[in-house]
Amino acid sequence: MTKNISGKVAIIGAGITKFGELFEQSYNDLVVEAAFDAYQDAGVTGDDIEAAWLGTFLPLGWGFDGTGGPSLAEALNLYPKPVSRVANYCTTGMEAVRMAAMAVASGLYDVVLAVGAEKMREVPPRGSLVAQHVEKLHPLYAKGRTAPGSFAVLATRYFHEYGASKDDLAEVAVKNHYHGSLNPKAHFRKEITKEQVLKAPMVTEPLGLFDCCPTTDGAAAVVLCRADLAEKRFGKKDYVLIEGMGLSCANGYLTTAFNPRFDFLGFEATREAARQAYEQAGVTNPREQLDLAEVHDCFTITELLNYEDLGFCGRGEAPAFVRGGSSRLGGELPVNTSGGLKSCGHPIGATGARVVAHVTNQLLGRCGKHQVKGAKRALGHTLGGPGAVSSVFVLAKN
Amino acid sequence: MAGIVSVGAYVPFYRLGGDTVRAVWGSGDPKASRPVAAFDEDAITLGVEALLNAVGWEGARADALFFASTSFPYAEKSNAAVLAAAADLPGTLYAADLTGSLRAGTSALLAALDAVKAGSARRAAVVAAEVRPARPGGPDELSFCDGAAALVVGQGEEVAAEVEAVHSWTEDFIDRWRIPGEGEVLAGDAKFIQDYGYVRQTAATVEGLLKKTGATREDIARVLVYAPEGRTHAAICQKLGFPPAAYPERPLVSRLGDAGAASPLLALAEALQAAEPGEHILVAGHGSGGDALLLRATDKVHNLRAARGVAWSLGRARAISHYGKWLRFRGMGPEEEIRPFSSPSILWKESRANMRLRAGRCQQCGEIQFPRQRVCNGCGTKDRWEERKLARRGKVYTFTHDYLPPSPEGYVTMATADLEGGGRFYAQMADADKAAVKVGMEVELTFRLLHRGDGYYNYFWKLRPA
Repeated sequence: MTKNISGKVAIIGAGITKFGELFEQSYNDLVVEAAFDAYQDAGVTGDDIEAAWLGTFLPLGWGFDGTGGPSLAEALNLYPKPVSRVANYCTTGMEAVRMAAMAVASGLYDVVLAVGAEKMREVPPRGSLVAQHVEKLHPLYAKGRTAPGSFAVLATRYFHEYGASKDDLAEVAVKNHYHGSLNPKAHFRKEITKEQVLKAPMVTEPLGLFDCCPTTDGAAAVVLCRADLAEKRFGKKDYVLIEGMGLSCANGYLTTAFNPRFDFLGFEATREAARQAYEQAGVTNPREQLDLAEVHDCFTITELLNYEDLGFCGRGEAPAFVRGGSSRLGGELPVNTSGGLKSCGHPIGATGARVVAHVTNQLLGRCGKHQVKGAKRALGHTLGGPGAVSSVFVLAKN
Repeated sequence: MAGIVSVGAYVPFYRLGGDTVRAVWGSGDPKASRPVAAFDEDAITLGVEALLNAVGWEGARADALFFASTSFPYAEKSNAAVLAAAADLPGTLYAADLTGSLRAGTSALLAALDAVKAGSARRAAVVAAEVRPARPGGPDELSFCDGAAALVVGQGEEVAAEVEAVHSWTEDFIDRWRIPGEGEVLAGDAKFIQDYGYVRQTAATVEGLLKKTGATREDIARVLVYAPEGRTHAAICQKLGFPPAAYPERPLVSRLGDAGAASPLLALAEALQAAEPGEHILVAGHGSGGDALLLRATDKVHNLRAARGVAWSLGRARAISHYGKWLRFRGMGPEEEIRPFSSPSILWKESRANMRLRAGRCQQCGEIQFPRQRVCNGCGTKDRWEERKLARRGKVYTFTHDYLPPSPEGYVTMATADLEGGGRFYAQMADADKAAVKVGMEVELTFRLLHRGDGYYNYFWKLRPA
């Protein structure tokens, strides 16, 4: 039985750095930029922050960047406050926000900071996640698996089961690149055609280059406080409330594909995290009750599976959902209006925090060309593993 | 009387074609085609295949293992111990590596016979396997071949071919040799080593055996001798003077190539699978002298026919598409360097699961899990497992051809398969034609070299088309 966090915690500030191959910026630069943007947005200073959480998945830089709470404390001079680093695969950034929100809801702190940051491009893209899979992890199990390869097997099975095709995946890529072209902070800002997607080099069948998110640097931060303090202490008329949040671990990292109960057609972790969040938020018909969703489109197939797991459409109906324009800006439930991981990139620890920050900006009507008009309630989702862990937030304007 | 109770052979899937060699070096018989180990195979993995073909997936009830090769992956550290684990031989096992001479294959067979006859072993497995080192463009590139054979030696009712007599002799002789670290097999004067080495020595080996037994040439149905290539084989046969019908119509060396220490055992395995009860078979190994054995097929000899042997192996083959790929297969191509993590303590403590494929069946909910967790991932019950060996065969549930990981093929096919009797296995595919891989495809587990993480050989199971 999930207890309810709905309405207890407010998001009063959000900051997102430019996402991209930020060779001129250090890990600490990204953290400082995201956090101070969030401070400014919230109207707070570092002195107001009572505790903080840092989400970084794979510290790859020199020394101890991102390996513990002191990485954040050092960058922001939060000394001597309680600061923790969290990691939970690709939900890491969202996990930092979830920890911060739980701390406020518990009554232990009134004002807290959550930062997600990942500096992936101090090494060549081949030196980052691919090498982690090929070189590290267990010496024998799943050896040869890569991040895109572990999602491609879902595409193969999904195609087999429902007769979907690469053309359906391309719909997602074209849509998210269009959304990204409207988002000044996205890594990729060019629209692409379906023909480009289908002719791109194969990465891992059936996923081609444009079915995969890029390797990116970035950070995002949010300032959270007790809901009743948003207006009383910080003078906010407009802010965002956490209506529900859920997290589910439904598989092991390496053992997912050994699990005889896994159907490779969707993710139980997403379904369970959504169930928790929807229950708290009172969402019974997500397609109607949500105005937009920001979901984990690390690969195009993942976005299609998310539609079904999050209840936007039925099993096997995701291709029709995207083809009909439902998830495009202007559609009934726009998905990944930021451009998603496809266009923004996926600095692993940053992504979940960026999703929460972006949804916050949408609900506060600050998204310019990619704004969903009149958005009142929105969903944020991340997924890691694949399918090992998922995190879902339902956020609403106050 | 002691003798052979089961046989198996394994010839690798890939072929190096003479046309491929000729296109690069300008010479070589364009019709030649020799079996070569894939990039993930070595003498140990070939030996595992041959032994599994001889004894079956559940493993042999052998209490001794004699493993012969001149191309062992490990110059120091037991090769037989890896073979024993992968073929799931019992832990109470005498295991020996025999190496250094092309005669090692017959030496292993003689040692096994002695062990059984002496009563120190009830059933002794003999495996000979080679991945022959030929210099690119060198004279052996189209005459060497890779392969493995396995025989199990026992006594009593189950014997399919009794060993009636053996003969060995030794004479130091420099015909072909290889110095550690130099890679290539070198050779003396060709005319001298043919006339005084292969022909004279093999004749002496065979004469010695015949003299011991009193058998005449007409008594023997099949004569199998080692030769490095077909012409030398013909010269030896002419000198030996058996009736022409006793020699194979096309000797194995002409069909496959020179499989070194594995050659006599491959030929014997093939002959035993074709033999009729009562037939006498003579097999001779060569190397600074020789070993010869005289076998008589019993009325059980037809039992040997069902095993996967040379005929089965030759039914599955694929040409290496170009010479560059061949170089990459032998680690001489522009391969991206990877340094996978490994740990001797991890490999040791997980050996029963990873080498012998012991999964767990939860006694509470019945789910078969591999790798097994302490707490059942199905129902949450702690430590109530019964051990279950995974089945070898299964069906592909889903897969991808992934172009990101470095591989001599240019891609790695990863597949997850539901195994017969339960359990799911996720691994690389081997020997697969990319276009033929489909959901529902029948596959089986095959033992392969994954990588050299931490400096030693990390072996594991892959899936291949069944």
